[in-house]
Amino acid sequence: MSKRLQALEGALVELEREGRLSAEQRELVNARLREVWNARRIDFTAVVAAFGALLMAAGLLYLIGYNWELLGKPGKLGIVFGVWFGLHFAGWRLAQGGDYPRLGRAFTLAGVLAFGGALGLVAQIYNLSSHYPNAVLLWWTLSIPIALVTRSRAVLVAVLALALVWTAWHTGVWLDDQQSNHERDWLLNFPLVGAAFAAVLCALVALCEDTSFEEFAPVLRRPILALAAAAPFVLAFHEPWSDAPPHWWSRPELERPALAEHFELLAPVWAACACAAIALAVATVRSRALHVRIGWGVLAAIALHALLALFAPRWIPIFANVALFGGALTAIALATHLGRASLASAGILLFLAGVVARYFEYLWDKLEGAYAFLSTGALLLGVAWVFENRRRAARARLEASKP
Amino acid sequence: MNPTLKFWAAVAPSFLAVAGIAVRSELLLAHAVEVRLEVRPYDPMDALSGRYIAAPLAIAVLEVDTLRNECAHAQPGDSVWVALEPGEPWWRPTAVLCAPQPDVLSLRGVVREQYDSRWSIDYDIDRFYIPHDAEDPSAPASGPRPQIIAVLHIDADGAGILTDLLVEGEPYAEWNARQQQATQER
Repeated sequence: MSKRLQALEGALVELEREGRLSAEQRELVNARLREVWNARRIDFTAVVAAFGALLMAAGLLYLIGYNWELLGKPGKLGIVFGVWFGLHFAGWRLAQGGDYPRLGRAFTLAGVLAFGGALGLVAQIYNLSSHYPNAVLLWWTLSIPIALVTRSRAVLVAVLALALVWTAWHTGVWLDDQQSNHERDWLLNFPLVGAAFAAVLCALVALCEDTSFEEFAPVLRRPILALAAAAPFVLAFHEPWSDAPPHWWSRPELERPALAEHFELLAPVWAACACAAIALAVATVRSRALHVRIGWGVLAAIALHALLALFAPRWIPIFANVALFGGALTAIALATHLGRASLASAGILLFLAGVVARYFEYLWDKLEGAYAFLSTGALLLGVAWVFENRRRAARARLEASKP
Repeated sequence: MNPTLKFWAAVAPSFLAVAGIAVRSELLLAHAVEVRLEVRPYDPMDALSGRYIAAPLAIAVLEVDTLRNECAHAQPGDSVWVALEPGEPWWRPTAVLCAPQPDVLSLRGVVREQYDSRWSIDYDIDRFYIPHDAEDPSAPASGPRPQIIAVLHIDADGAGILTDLLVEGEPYAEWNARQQQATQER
């Protein structure tokens, strides 16, 4: 038994001795404590099993990373399909039997990760390559049914991570193909596509709620704020936009650039927005839940920034700052409304990150030598103090609001 | 639905996808024409698939003015077929087509960049995987770089697959074995 549990049980005995707890109540609390402790022990098993699965998958990937020239083509294919099938079979058998469901899910996760290894190995055997990351696309899309059937949150996390990697990779290759060397095209596309991904996640959260997939909602909800906030944070820096072309309407008619060309350079953003709009429309038909409204709000902000990029690029940092601080305050307000301490912390952190970024952006070059270190140190200490106070206050309010 | 059936129905598409890639490659190899093309190699690494020689084909950059260009209106992103005719030591491009033509062996690619008459074409054929401890012909320790030729199999639709590299006319595996033996003897 752990020392912590012993200390808790000792405290209960003390309370009983002081007459503030009956023997029956002490037994009840004791039983519940042991129950929670046992549940935590099972969690530990899951963590160990998950690490085991990850190591196995990493081992497989390494195996593929090196060449096994001694084997012929059928031997190589036999091993890859055999090991991969074995992982899924073990996953299904252990989960189906009911005795080791967590271990079973860990094997299934290893099977999902081994899918990428299998694709890599087949590419190696036949010397295949692809301009766009189509293998990653296959990997995450064909893993979705496995996540849905097994209801495994770990598999869902893997699918989401792969989808995000594919989205960024595909966007990068596409931008490369456009021979666009301007950093602003990259700066616009990546964060706005990421924000559109967040809008899709909002729709998926709403679609999962009140269904048998409700357990997926927390996993889908977690990256939303980070993905949505990254866009205004990145776009809020003034420097990249300082030499952007002036407003479209203020230029002489002959000097106005072809909008179609600029529109085309934002194709990944439009495509991601279209996906998000479809997902949100489907979610809206089903419910008008909070996440649907947040998703539409994020989508509107993306559309606004994309239009600014076409007509008034110099205004982007202004609107991005409004979105950044507005988003942070909205997150804090929502956290108080929903009673979510972690969201309140994230909102405050975002707000302070915005303040610190603006401080460094506008004041850094005005300070010299020791003043820079002194003032920056003082700012960071102040920020830490404010952050801690706000966090404690928010937690206290949340605690007080609980019944 | 039975949970077992459900599980295997969910897993099956990923197996079918990988098996499909392997079967498609085997079918292509079985019905294709063997072609030899010049490459301009270098030697990188892929975290998932291992060490390979990047073997971009010399015909990845074409001066289309010097060829019969039947697809002059092609834009970046469009597919084109590059007609090939036998030659020594490698096959040579003769025309740029908008679609495969019967009795004309051509390799399908996608136009990536166009600088006047110089077109950059991506055939998705630029990797030849080698063992992690193999000799690298693209970066010899001493002396000039040997002549390297890609051996491809191309089917009637223009799909190609890289099957070997010839180093100074010798299949890569044989050349590598000879090089490694020489290294050991030294």
